[in-house]
Amino acid sequence: MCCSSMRNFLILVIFLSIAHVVRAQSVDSLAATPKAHRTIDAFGIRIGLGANPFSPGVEPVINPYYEVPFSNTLFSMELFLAYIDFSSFTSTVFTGAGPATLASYGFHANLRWLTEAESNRNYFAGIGLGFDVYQTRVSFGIPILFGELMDIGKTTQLDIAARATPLFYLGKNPGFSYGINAGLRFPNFSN
Amino acid sequence: MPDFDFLIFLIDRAAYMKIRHVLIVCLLLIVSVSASAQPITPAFTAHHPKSNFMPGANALSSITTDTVPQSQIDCGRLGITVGGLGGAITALHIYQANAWWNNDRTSFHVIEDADYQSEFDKVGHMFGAYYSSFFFDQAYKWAGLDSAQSALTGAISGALWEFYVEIEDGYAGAWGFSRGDAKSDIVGAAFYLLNQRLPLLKDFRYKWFYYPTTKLTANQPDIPGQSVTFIEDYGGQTYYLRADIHSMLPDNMKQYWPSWLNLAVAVSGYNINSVDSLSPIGNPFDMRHKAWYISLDYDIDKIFPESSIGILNFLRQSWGYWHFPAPAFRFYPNPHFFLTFPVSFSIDHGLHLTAEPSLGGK
Repeated sequence: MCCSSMRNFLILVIFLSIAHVVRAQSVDSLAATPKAHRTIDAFGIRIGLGANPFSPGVEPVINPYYEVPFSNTLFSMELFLAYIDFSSFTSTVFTGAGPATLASYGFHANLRWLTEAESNRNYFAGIGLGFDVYQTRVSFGIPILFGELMDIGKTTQLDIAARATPLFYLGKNPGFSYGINAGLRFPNFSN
Repeated sequence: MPDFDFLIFLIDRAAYMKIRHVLIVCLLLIVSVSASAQPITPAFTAHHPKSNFMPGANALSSITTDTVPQSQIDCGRLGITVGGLGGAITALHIYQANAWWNNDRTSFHVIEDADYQSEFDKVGHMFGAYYSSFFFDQAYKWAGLDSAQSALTGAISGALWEFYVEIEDGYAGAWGFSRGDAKSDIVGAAFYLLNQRLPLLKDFRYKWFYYPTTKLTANQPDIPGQSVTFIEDYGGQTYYLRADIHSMLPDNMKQYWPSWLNLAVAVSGYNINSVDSLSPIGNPFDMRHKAWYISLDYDIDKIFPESSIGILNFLRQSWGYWHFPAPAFRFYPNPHFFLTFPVSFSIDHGLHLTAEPSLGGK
């Protein structure tokens, strides 16, 4: 019962965070323009953990992406590589992974909305469409992201994100996955 | 190994349905709230310039000009683009459905088919995603997206298109969703994006050449009852990764190497159409292999000058992804020199042109 209340509380916090972030779109001047929006494009890579309620354990995930500003959002294509376990992750991360070492691989197209910068930080919420290939099934999903971008250098940002993804397995029942990841984003600024 | 099972407490089976409902509500709220978000101010737009920020940002120019520095969406062109792409996709779907999928529907299934073409078809899948990304990219550029936006949107569209074809295969009884094909599709689209946006890769380009073999002209499908299309006529296909030597040379050396002449590493099938019905290991495809070459290569889009007429420029750019017959050396297997690879000329009551016989075999 306690666990259930905590879960509901967490969901409420997530819900409110997303609503808050998405509402905060007022941009009146360059100074107030989120720094990430002033990029021409950006490359990034995140490393994290992913899990699925229907399978035990946690999978290590690598998530390289390319992103461009699109209207008042950031639009990205990311590869989503989930390894079977930590031993396969560590043994193949520098030599390239094959189907035997990956639990799933796929690509996602995401949109994310950023808040105004606060002390070199932007909070964001995002939504996307993703396709992932597993050993015996294929899914398309709708990743929902929230997190923050934090400047840690002139052209380097820390990118932290939590992700929840309703999944629709082709020919099978729907599913769900979630995860957290953190990485670096390298924007190319226009000025 | 660290134990991360404690994370599972967040969600269990019983709560799954409830959480799903909450997520759907979240989703709807995000969409509705973002739709009502305040419009972009002129200040935002004014400080949102896009330029072709890297030397390799637009390795292949757009239909109209060599650079598209700033996004200015033209609604009329956007409509034409969406309509044109929709029509092209529908036409391709009908073509493929008639050849492969119709009258052979079953439940969705996933397969591994690495030995079917000795993995040569994976090279083709990569190119399919790469080349279709180019066409999408060009269409979006013409509609007014800037170079970065169109490259990204083009790559996503290319990957989506190839994935869609793979999913259709997954519902076809004689085929299946191939994990290897899907991986190649993703790699091809991602390579196109990096190729357009990463200076390190600007001097490389993925190319192909195709000349029909008797498998297509005499309609000899691997699966009885189906029709052979050029897509699966692998005996007539060769793929190249060319390096722009002129661009890679230091400035004081460029005068010694023509800008249109390149070097390429190539791969083709080898006996790729052969079927071994007497295979000792029971694999009818055991005679099929890949062959590797070093080849000269030339860029059509550099030989013909840029045109001020949009459609001509587009055709010129499109041919830039085709390799044309040139001297090549096969270093694996059976080293051999070819003067006009990958086609073969013969004189027998006239001049005849055929795909190099060693590619497809009998």
